[in-house]
This record gives sequence, structure tokens and C-alpha cells, in this order.
Amino acid sequence: MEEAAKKSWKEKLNFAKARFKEGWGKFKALVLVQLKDKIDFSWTKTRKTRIQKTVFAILKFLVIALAVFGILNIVKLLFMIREEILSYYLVFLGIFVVLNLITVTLGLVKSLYYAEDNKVLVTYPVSSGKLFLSKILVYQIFEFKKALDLLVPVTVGFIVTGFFFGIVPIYTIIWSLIPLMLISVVTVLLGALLSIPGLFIFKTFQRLPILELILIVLLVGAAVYGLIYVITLIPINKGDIDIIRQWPIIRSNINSFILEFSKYIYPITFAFRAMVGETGATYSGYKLMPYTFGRFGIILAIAVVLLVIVFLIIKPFFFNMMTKTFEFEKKNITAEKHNKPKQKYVAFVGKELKLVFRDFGISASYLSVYLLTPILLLFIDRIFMAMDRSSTGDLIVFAINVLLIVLPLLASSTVISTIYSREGRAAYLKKTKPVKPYFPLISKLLFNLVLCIPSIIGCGVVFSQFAQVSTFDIVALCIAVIGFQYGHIFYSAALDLMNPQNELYATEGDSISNPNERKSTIFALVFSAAIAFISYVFFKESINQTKTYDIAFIKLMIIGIIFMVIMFILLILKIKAFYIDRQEASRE
Amino acid sequence: MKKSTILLVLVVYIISFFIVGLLGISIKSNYEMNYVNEILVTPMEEQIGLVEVSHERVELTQNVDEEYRRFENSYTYSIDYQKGLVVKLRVKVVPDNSTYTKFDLVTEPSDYISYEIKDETLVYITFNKRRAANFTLESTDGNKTPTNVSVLAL
Repeated sequence: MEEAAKKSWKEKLNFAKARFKEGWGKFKALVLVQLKDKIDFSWTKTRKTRIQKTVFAILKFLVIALAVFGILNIVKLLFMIREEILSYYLVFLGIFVVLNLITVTLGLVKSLYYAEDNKVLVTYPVSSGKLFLSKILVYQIFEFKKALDLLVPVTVGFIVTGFFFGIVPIYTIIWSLIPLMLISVVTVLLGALLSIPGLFIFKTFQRLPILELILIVLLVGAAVYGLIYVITLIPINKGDIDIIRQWPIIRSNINSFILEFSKYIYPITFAFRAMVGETGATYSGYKLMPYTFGRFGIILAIAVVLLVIVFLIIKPFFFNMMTKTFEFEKKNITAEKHNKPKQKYVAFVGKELKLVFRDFGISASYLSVYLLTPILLLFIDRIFMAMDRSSTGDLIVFAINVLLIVLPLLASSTVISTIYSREGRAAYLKKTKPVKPYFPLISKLLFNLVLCIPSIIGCGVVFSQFAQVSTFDIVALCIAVIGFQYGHIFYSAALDLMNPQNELYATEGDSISNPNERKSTIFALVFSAAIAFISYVFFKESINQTKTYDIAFIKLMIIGIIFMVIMFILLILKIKAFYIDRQEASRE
Repeated sequence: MKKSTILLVLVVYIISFFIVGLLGISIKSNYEMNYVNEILVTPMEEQIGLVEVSHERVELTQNVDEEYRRFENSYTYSIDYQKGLVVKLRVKVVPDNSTYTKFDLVTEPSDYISYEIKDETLVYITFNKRRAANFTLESTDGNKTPTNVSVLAL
């Protein structure tokens, strides 16, 4: 009898083990299928590409960490700061986590309920719970991957600096990464929880797009109003702002700000303490104490509780919601519309403009950058005007003006490096259109090419108020910036043509880490910095040789035009190679 | 724009401010900063009925030259309460040639007491009930040299 019970118990255990194994196998397969769809693993095939990829990744990591280390050392030398360094990291972490929570929530709304691969995934023989968890896990893996791009190297840069300053012990460098990863997990789980109200807002905006428009107008209006208000507070007399003389006040205000900020972001301050340790009256800097590990334990417990809550709350209606978006929420347009034939080129332009304005997210992002760039320039120029500058200072300010005009504009056009891929699988329709592909492809860039011009002119007007240079110089500067902006737009578009990510956007939406966008952003940063440096050299040469800045502006204009023309030719060549030559070759 | 790009652009704005502030400023030979040593408080001449109950002066610094010595003053005043009572105090920053002569008033918010700084040298305290107004005046030069004031309107 006893033996029979033992046997039955063993059988039950084996059965449970087998079921778990089977379930785990299915879950693993589900995750791998999604990952394989979204991540290019081709580099793992050969030893050479594996080494190349690893070395490049390590180099990229080291460059960012060393840049942070270098900047912090300069800050230490200039401002006699030592212990406060990690407080600055807290501010960075706070801003990063808050922004991340917003993007993760938006990303999860799209990834959980609107991703194209849902249509396939629902046909797999797995439970909705497994499907849901696999989606969360895949998103988390992407978040870890994204964290390695910036958050982790910046953190390592700060903590290593802290170690060299004698604020933290060496083992904090390793330890701090563990709570940091946990912060990422908590952010994703919170984002998953917030994805329910997010979905509701998303659906409301879909139903009533006017609401979204009003919200965007209100947000941009508030930002503009806030900036203009701050601009009016800036003192206008020359010499009123003097960093060296006023450094004790600035330092005191920065410290007060950090103190207040850390109160407002208490949960992040708590997690920050779990990373770097505690401060104490008997020692300087931060030390890992038993209490620190207690904090880590609390965050871990929060993550587990969140996972349970997310699973219990979202899972029941996840399957229903994800299928609803592509099975039931289709608009059947029954009203007949009269077919109005349009000139084919006008039709393309009209279609692209409609697409941009239909997606308020994209159009608002562009418009806010185009609107805020001249206002931010006015803000910073008003500060510079209140400084008693030397002649070198004037040249530096001119070069920085060029940087602050070019950088935000170029940074905004990095989205262009995703513009064709965003069409997902529909992008291949372009190849079926009865025209040469040049026009439909370039008409996608039209919105940016046109709308950046008023912004650049606005920046030119702000610069003229500050710099007291001739109208010719301002016109030359505007043409130069238009050249840089157009050149970067063409460059980014070519990146997307050469390495399309349509499949990624088709399956995952726009929450992915796009290599083209990364390349375009790095190019924008390096190019803007290089242009600012070159401008400084030109301004210095020009004022020394001719006592005016005319030559410098003409040189910048020529560089801008040449850059634009080269990038345009390269784009045309790439369109020809990818859309004409390749198709003809495949036909043959 | 991605959040990492927004952060990077913001960092560039902040760095540019410091670059100009440090490398682009005209150099002056007379670059001395005079810090506030102490903040003194006296009732305004027209203030009637305000009695100084106590005044303490504690040095905040140790073993420094005379010109760098800083003091924390603490004043206690008393006055009979009447409806709409306004107590006017004159504030003097020492030394006279301090680079920053402005001061901040730090206090807990109250429904019955309101504070107003006038002309950068006067503090007006308005009482709407019998209460004690406790506040600290701090220098704005970064040292935050304090002076504590208590006004009892009873």
C-alpha cells in the first residue's frame, strides 16, 4: 500500500517534471522565435564577424565610459567637486528612468497589443499566459540591450570616477550594475502595468484624434511659454552672469536643486542608494552596508510583486485585447468616393504629407524641435549676452551658436534613418509603382526638407540679434545650415535604404533599437561638433585677416552646399543600386 | 527623438554654457569676492511696541582671519497682538561691501502669518492670529550665513 502511494507520488512528480519541461521548451521556443525575428544574429555565423562585433561593442562601451570619466575629471578640476559627483549621477539616473518609463509604456502598448507578429503568435499552441510572459521577456531583453548602449557605460563611467576620487570602493563598480539591471526590470514591469491606461489613451486618441492634437498643442505651448518666461528672467546687463565669481552661489543652487530633486524622485534615490551604498557621519563617500543589500532586497521584492500583479491584472484580458486590435477593430469604409485622378507626382507628395500628419507623434516631434530650436538658442544667447565676454569668448559663442543650431536639427532628422523601414511590409509596394523610384522615395523626405527652413531662418534671426553681423552673413549661415541639414537627411535616408529594418518594424513597431538610427545619431553628434570646431577656426582666421566674419560664413556656406550635393548624389546612386540595378539583375 | 539623444543635446547645452563661462570671459584684475560675515536685524524706527527679548551671537568659523569670520545671530522679539498687526524689521548685511547683499527668508508656511521682503533691506511680517513667527534669513553668496528671528505676537 505504502509502496503504491510512493510510486504514485513519484509518477506524479515525473509527470509534473515532464510537463514543466514541455512548457519550458515551448516558452523558450516562443521567446527565441520572437528574438530571431527582431535581432540580426548573422554575425554569430563566422569567427571573424563574432570577433569584429565583440571588439566593436567593447570599444563603443569603453569610449562612452572614458568620455564620462574625462568630463567628470575636468569638472572636478574646474569646480573643486569630489563627493557631489555621484549626486550628478542621481540626477542623470532620475531623468533617464522617468523618460524611460514613458517610452517603455508607449513601447509596450504597441508591442503587447499592436505588434504585427501577434497575428502569427496567437496561432501557436501555447497558453495566453506564456505568450504574455514571452512578450514581456523579449521586451526586457531589448531593454537590457538598449541599456548597454548608454545607461550602463555612463554608470560605469561615473562609478569608476567615484572610485578614483576615493568616494566608492572598487567592488561598487561591479555591484552597482546588479541593482541597475533590477531598475530596468522594475521599469518594464511598471510600464506593462501602465500599458493598460496607455492602451485606453491610445484608443481614445485613435477615436478622437483632435484630442491628441489639443494635447500636443498644449504641451508644446506650455514648453514655449515656460521657456519664454525663463528668458525674461535672465539679467540683461553685461557682466551680470559670471560663472567664476558667482560659482559659490551656482554651486549652492545646484546642490539645493539636487537635494530637492532627490526628494521628488524618492524611489529612484532609494534605488541609487542600493547601487552605491550609504553615506555616513564617520566616513566620507559611499559604502556598501547591510542596509544597502536590504534596499536591494526590497527592490527585488517589489519586482516580484509587480510581476505577479502584472500577470494577474493584464493576462486575463491580454489575449482578448491583442486579438481585438487586428480581428475586430477594422474600419469598414462603405462610403463610395469618387476617384479623382491626380498628377502622379502630386499624388505621392500628397500621400506622404497625409501620412506624416496622420501620425501626430512624428509630426509633433518634428514640429516641436523646429519650434524649440530657435527659442532655446534665444535662451542661451541671452545668457551669453549677460556675460562680459573677451574677443575669444565672442568667437566661442559664434561657434557654439552654430553647434546649437545644427545639433538639434540634425538630431531630429535621425528619425529619417527609419522612414522607409517604418512602412513595414508595405514598403515593398514602392517597387510596384509605375514610376522611377526616385520620386516616391525622395517625396518621403519632403516634410522635413520644407519645414526645417522656417526654423533655420528663425535661428538666423536670433543669431543676428546677438552677433551684430551683416545680413549677407546671416543668409550665408542659413544656407550653410540648410546644406548640413539636407545633407544629413539624405545620409540618414541612404542608411535606411542600404540596411532596411522593415521586418523589425513590421513585427515590433517603433520600440526597437535600430542600428541605422544609432549610426545617424552618432554622425549627427560628431558632425555638429566638427562643424562647430571648423567654424571657430574660420571665424578666428576671418576676423584676424579681414576684420569681418564674411569669409568665414562664405566658407561655411560652401561646405554646407558641397556636403548636401555629395549626400544627394550618394542617395541617388543608392536608390539606383537598390531599386533599379538590383531588380534588373534579378529579372535577368 | 530618442531619449538618449535628448539627454545628449541637453548635456551639450549645459556644457556650452560652462565653456563660454570659463573660457570666454574677459579677465579682470580685481576679482575679489566679499562674503557676508553676518546679518543684523533691527526694528524699523516707526515700529512701536516691539521689544527685543534676547539676542545671541555665535561664531560659525574657527581660526580664520578677521575678514573671513562669520556669525550666526539669533533674535527674539515680542509684541502685543492686534488684528492686522504688521511687524517691520530692518535687515543689514555686514560688511557693507559684500558682493551679494541680498538675503533669502526661510520659514515654514503658515495660514496666519505672511512674510514680505521689501527693497532688499526690509522684512514685513503680517499676523492674522496670535502666533510666533519663526524664520531664518540666509545670505545668498553660497555660504548661507544664517540669522534666526522669532517674533512673538501674543
